[in-house]
Amino acid sequence: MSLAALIILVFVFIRSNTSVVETNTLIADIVGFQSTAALVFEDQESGVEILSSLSRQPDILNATILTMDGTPFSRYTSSQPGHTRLLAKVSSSEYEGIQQQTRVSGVSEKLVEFTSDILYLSSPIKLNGAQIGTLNLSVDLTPLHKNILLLTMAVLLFLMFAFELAYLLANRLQRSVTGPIEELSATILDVSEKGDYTKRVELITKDEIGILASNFNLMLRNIDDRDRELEKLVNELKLATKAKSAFLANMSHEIRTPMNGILGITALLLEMPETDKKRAYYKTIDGSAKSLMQLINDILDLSKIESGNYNLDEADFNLNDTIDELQRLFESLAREKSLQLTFSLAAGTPVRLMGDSTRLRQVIINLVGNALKFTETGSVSVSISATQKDTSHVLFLFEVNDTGIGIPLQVREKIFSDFTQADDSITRNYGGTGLGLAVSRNIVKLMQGQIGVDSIEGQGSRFWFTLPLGLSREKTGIQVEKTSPLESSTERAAHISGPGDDSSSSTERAQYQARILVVDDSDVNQFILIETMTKFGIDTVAVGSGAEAITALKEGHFDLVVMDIQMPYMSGIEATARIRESERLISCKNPMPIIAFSANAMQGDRERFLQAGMDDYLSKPLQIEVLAAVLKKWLGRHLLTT
Amino acid sequence: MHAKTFNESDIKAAFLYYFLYFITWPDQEVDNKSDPLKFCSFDAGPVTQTLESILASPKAINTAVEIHIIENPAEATECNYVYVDSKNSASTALVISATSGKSILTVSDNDGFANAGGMIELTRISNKVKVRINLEVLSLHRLKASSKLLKLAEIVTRSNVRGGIDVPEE
Repeated sequence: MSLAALIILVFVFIRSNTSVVETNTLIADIVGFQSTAALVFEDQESGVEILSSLSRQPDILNATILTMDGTPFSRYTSSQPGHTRLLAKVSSSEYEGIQQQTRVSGVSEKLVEFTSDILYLSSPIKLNGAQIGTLNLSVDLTPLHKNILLLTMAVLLFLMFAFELAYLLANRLQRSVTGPIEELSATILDVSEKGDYTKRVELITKDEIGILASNFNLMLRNIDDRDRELEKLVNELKLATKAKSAFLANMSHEIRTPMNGILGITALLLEMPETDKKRAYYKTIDGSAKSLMQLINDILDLSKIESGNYNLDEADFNLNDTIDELQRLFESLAREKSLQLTFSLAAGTPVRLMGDSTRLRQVIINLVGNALKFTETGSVSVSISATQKDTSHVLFLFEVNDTGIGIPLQVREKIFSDFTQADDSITRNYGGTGLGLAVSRNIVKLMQGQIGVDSIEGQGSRFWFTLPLGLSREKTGIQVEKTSPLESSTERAAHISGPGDDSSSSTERAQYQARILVVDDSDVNQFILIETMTKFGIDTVAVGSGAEAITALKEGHFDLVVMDIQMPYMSGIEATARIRESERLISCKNPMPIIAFSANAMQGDRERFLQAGMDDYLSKPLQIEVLAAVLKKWLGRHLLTT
Repeated sequence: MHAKTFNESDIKAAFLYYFLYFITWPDQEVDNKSDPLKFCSFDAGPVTQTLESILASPKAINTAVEIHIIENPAEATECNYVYVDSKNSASTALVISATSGKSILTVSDNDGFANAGGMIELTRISNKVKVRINLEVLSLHRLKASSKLLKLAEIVTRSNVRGGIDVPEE
């Protein structure tokens, strides 16, 4: 467009120059024509008069008629004040060239010469074809230039206007064409980045892009609808899973209550002097019941982990205590199979730790239980070592080595899977591995650790797991066991395999002169407790509720209370709180020892019981050895010496 | 052709020559374009000679002009263009009356020629030759003078005619 404007301007410039030449040539012709008579008749006055008519042409600066010999015949000079400057220029030496030339010789042809602001025109004066003189004209070009300038400005203004118009049009076009595309693209980007499928393209034009945008909206709506449907389904599934977990939890609790009964009674039966055959039957019932119990607990754990309800405790504990408990737990089993069970703690391993000791114990129990199960001869050894991670964390390595049958390579990867038996042959050859390993793997994973197994078939297996554990913030006490781990292991091993009670046979129990109150809403539990206490020569009174317990304590004398936790109307915790309250009222100096009796095995629960004012803890199913230890602790002064 | 470089007879010859440019004769008086225009002079002196030489030059007017020297004013009737020089002033009135009614251009350098009914009078004013034209007589005889010529000429009016020499009877 600017090129067109430039062409127009050049054209206009040339055209106006041509036109000024033409106009002034015409003027020169007319004046020359009119002056012919004056020239030939030598009438200078008349010549001047004719030239003076040029005053009506405001652009003519001056005019001179020359005779054929170049002598000026007559002159005209503009008297306009605006011409003074240019007239000075005309007469100045700068233009003498052309003036001189024409002055000396005249011209026989028309001569046109442009300078920046003056047009010089020389035209022969002819009379019937014969030249009789020359007319020289000088014309002021400034008005012309002014006009051209004005025109140029007008063109530029027009150009600017045109550009503005073009810009506005382009802008409008851009808005109407690329605007919707940009909006569409922005929406797509927004949707894909934020995943918000409720967004829609707002600007819908009436062209193909509009169709694209509305189709895109349709797609978004479909996705959104599908998402909502999926969300609904997911929520339903979550609810279903929760319901399933709740069902499993309830079921396992419900199942555990009668299982505790079975186990308790079986334990009592085993205490009785019976024939070997009967004892073998009882032992089978006991083993089966224990397996079933373990299975139920594992299912409960897995369902808890699956539903995300599996919370980890974060509490201080002493690793030595944990090891002691594990030793106590397994010593009878190890002794039964004549296996050597050793625990060893590497030198310098910190023992005052922070973490979920219950879960740690559970994993070790699973692994050690497994090891004892699949080892017929030899030993099972547990090694614990640790590497410092930072000032507050330690990475532990727990290893359980056995001299058992080992695990084939193709089975190793599968044994940690949920609900997966390696294959039928495994079940046949090794018996069900249960869910212990799957639970263990889940727990270790939850606790940011790793678990694995190495094995040589026929020589044994090495189960290991790593676990990051916090260092206890309590700086009191001993961080590291004073005795060397080896010593302590040896000591413990000796303790385990040493002479002691043989739970598998009826033994004489320590006898106590004492009276105990058993509080449990379950008749079976009451019966088991009463029967078990009888073994220790203890007189037992059983009540079915917390309220009855409070009344019983007011009315009679008791040396110890065994209190169930989960009871209707009044929990064991609440009943204990009331008992302690009444003791405070009478400023009792010898508070009643209250032992919690619960299936709950969580670390937090144990602490909760103690905080509620209970003194110790017995877990269901009742284990006679544990009970013996508790009785020894709390009824020591009632012990009858024989 | 500047006045200073030429003598009076040269100027007068030039004037006579250039009148050919500025005066138009009616068509029927010049029967055929090929017929030469008859210029008649009572004197064969320098003016006529100069005119002849001008006309002989190759650049001259393309109108064919014949120069005739006449002695009798009656001969003037046969001419298209009559020049009466001052030496033949006696013939002035006779020429005027003889050419009356005919489209014959009459030019003279005698004073009062135009007033007396002549057409063009060459007069000398302050050392310059000037032209006086009796336009009335000119147009009466169907001769046309160019405006360019009229512009620099002194136009002699009818009153001048009346106040001057008596117009002879037609």
